[in-house]
Amino acid sequence: MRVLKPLVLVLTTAVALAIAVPALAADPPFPMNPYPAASQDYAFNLQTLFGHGSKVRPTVYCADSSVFRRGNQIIFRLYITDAKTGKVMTGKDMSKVVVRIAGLPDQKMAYRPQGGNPDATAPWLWSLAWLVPADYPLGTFKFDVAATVKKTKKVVVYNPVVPGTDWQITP
Amino acid sequence: MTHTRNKRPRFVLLGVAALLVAAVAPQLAPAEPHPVTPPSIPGVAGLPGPVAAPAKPAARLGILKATPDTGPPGTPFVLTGSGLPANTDLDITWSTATRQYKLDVVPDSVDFYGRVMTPMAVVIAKGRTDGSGNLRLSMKMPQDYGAIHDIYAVSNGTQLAKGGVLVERTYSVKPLKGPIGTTITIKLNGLGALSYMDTVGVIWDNRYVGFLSSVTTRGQATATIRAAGPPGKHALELVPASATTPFLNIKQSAVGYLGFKRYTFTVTKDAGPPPTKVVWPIKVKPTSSERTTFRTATIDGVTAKASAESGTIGSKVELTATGLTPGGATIQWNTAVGTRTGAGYAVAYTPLTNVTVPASGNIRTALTVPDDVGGWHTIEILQEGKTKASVPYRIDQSLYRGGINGKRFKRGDLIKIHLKGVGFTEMDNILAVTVDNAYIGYVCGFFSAGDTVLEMIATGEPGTHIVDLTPTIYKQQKGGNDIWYGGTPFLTYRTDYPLLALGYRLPAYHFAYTIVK
Repeated sequence: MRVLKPLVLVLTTAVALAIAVPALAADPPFPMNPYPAASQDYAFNLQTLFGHGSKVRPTVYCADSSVFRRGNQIIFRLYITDAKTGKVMTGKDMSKVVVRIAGLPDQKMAYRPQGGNPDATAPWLWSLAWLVPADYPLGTFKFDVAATVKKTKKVVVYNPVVPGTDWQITP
Repeated sequence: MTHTRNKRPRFVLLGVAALLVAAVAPQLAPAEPHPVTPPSIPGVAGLPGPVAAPAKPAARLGILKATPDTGPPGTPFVLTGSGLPANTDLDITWSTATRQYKLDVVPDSVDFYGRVMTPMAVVIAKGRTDGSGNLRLSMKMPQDYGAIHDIYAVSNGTQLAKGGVLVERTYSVKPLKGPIGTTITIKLNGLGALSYMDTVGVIWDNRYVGFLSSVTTRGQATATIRAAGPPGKHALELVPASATTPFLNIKQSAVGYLGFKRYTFTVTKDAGPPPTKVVWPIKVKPTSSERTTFRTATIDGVTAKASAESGTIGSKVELTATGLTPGGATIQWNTAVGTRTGAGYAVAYTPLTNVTVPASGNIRTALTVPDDVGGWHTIEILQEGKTKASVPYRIDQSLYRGGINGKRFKRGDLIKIHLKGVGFTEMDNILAVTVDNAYIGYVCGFFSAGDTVLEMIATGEPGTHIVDLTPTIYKQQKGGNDIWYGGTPFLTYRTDYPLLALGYRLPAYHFAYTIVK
């Protein structure tokens, strides 16, 4: 026990610091994606959540998920930064950002405050609400994001799938 | 203290055994965990089509519609697509997988490393678009693992459009009424390939009975349980299981669509305890010749053969050999001793008999199979300390004196169930125990050299009660999130058990007794 006590103290302090330090740092809207797109110029953060517009009630609204049922509303939330400067890409920087879902026309994202009834403190980001049709194919959900840079007209494509972590559409 | 003293001789034994292992270590083949090809099981389907060439999705992927897109294996459906290149031949691919158990056969164990999945796509149909780029195909959901499968229309290595179907589970439970001890057959089809999809837990009156699996049986699983008393109605539930145990609120999970099934079984009467029954796995051809306790191959010019490949303890075996050097020879029994409870375990070598090899170099000698742990052993013929021949021999489990110490007990009496030849690997060293379909624990036979005694107190209401012992996996080595919990009844042991590939035959035991006033 004499050896254990200081060890416990050190470990407790380390755990407390590990919890506290990230909270003190400047908060991005959500954590950086550890698997950024192949693009060297821009980093993408994508979240997909259960929306309140779901026709089929999800287990929990607003929860982040990669598995959605037909009739669920998927909220795509996207946060784009300049990979070199860290500058957040807003509606002034991107002329168009779309989600390209298999079999559907491009789904345009809007740059707006987060949430259904945002207040002045709500973070701004790119978002889209899409209701999974009742007859949409089951299984792997194929989509990517294409963002057009206003200044250069360059289209940057972001495929969010990390091998082995496909999004899924289920019954 | 008594416990420690009792263990000392074992430590010495293990130490000696370890030294012996070290001495022969260079002759041992390096062992690595590896997937083992499952044996061929009658009625189990193979891959539903030839393996498809690798393909990449088109920049803009279209969709395919399957109508209906949900149904059990064999369900007909129509696959349609539009906006495809006109007059183009297409491969229709189906996402599936092959599944194997990953094992490590070492001299003193077979270690269980879980399940291995190799995802793949197979071609299940060929199609051609019309002049407007439309596709229409009539197909059937193949006999395959269940759950969701992706379907792609592929041309020249490019996936042009994607669809998907849900292959639903089917359930069959028969009969649904009968006296205490009635054998109930549960047949499932359409179990998935992924973890959380390939096992189903069985619950009887809110008691855990065990699990069915279809790891190597392509979605099909058949097992039996027995009806437990008292007479009246009983709830039988088949629930998706994650790591062999029932996932009771799976409806709230990402795989909630898997569903579950509930039945009512009516116990019609108590006709007294049915006779003790031992149920063996189906006979299959092993796919692996790897054997525990093996260390050295038979040398050139020598042949050796046992009159039987397997038997129970005390069996008589005739060993014949040719090509030996005239003079003395030792017949040796290779086994494993020790425990997984801390002290460790190792291979051990026991002389069975000494023989004199005549000038012909041929011997024929009768051996008695030792009262030892079960599973694969090696009979070696040694001359001048060197192995001349190695013959594998398997000890099968057996009942000792009928297995149970009576049929009628009063509450509080001690019931004893006695087995012999329980093994030493991670998949044959224990058996899971249920009483009246309630899982209560396991018995182990390793440290006790295969001798396995279950002692339990007679409890319950007057009438017939059942006790079942079922093969199970002791534990899994590394497995991350895909780890299986060990120790619980592996009800599909007859067809989907990892050791079947290695030629093991592990039975389940069914006992019954009556509580009298």
